[in-house]
Amino acid sequence: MDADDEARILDTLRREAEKLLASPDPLMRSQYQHLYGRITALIAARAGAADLAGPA
Amino acid sequence: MRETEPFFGRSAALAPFERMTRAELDELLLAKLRRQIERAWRTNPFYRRKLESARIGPGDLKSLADFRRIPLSTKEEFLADQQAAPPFGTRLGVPREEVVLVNMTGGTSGKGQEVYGRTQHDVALQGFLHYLPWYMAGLRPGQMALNCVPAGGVTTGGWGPPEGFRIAGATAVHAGGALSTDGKVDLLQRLGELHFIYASTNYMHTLTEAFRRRGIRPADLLPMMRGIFIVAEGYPAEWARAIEDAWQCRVHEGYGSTQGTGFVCSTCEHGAVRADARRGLMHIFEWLNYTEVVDPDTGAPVAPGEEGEIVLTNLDIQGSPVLRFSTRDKGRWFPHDACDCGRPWHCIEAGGVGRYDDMLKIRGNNVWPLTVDQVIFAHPEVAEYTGRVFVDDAGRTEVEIRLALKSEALGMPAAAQERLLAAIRDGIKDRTNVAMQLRVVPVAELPQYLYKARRWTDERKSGYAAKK
Repeated sequence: MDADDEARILDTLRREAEKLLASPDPLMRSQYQHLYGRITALIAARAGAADLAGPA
Repeated sequence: MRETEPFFGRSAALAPFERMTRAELDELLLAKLRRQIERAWRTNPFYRRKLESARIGPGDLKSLADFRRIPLSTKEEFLADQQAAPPFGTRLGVPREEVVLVNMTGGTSGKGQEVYGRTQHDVALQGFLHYLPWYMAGLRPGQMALNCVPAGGVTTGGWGPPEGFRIAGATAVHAGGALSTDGKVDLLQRLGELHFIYASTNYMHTLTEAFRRRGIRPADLLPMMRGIFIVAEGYPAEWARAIEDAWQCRVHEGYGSTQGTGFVCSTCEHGAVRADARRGLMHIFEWLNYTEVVDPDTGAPVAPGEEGEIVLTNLDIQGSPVLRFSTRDKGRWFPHDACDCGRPWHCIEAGGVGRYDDMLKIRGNNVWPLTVDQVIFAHPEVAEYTGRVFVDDAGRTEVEIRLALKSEALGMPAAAQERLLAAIRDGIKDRTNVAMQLRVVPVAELPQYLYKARRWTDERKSGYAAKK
């Protein structure tokens, strides 16, 4: 696995976790938001200049 | 009075545990216990030895009753094990490099601190079992929550709540230990918004008294309050009602322990005191905390309404899991149908969990009389003493030590006596983390003990009851 694979997996996780944010389950929703925040933080932590290209 | 929002069946994730029959829950518990035994057999030398001594191996658990054949685990065993194989003993159960948190017990027993190694999974799961009871008590995402318990450190009571508030999505204010009581009142006045309070029983009393002294009715300042969640100390039902009256929301309670998984149990929508003034019931999160309440002498399960020792088994903890841990906590057990909320979870009565030994919980510290004995009686000038824990007029928990000197020490110069008292005072603070007031009295004022000494009295409950 290389850095591109990791970036791709994280992005997949982010997109999948984003779907969980629409959960109607009131007990789980904040936990999904927590999970989503962890994933986006991982993406941010390893993001380089190239990852910043595109819409903000 | 704002009632706690009902939530039975509202969460698709929780509903299966709420709606299953008792027989289905027992079946789940048996399956999870079998898995735990298999894991322990494979990964945990401490419990492998225990299981072998009980002649129970993977596959031998035919019923929940069989599980009681496993001997209890004790604090003393854990301490001996971790001393022989520091730092985690032989009961870690996971590769050392997977440990992300050193979790310890309070350590004021004078016996030593148990050490637990927690994995990422454990920290997240324990966070969930802080969040779940608070959700049940009315906390919702985005709501302002005041944590009055000092946050952080090595104990579950310190690091657990911030994990719970984070995954709750609450707007947490970790003011415990960071601000004085008056400072907290000032802050709340400034914020003008609060939905939830997490505090020890005694601190909830102290905070409410601080409002009273300022002539502020909490419910007037903070009419949006949804719930109060108290821990750690027992209380009279009248006190809980008075707190509800002051804040105009339900008081809830949870029971937790480092040896459990987060909170072991907590109150449902009915709160700590039910509508008919009976004590509320704390429902056990059994699918994560297998909890027995047993007669401490015979080890047999207690009957409904009887008091017994709480014995804990983790069903999903990875690092330093416990099987049948003897907590020395006592609680009154009720079957699930003692509450009409409909969940199949057995219960422990709210307001009455205490200790079998004589430990006193003072300002969040575990204080054993033996520890104080050891400090005081290290000074040969001392004849006897008594300790009294009480709530003063300002609502603070205080401790008074009445101390009698031996006759030969009575003539010592005033300066020498002052030095003696200072040494005792500092020694007690050092060993217990609690500042105590010392007063020298004639020895005749103190009781004489013909058998075991009973030097301590805890008058806090009457102190709470006196204030409405």
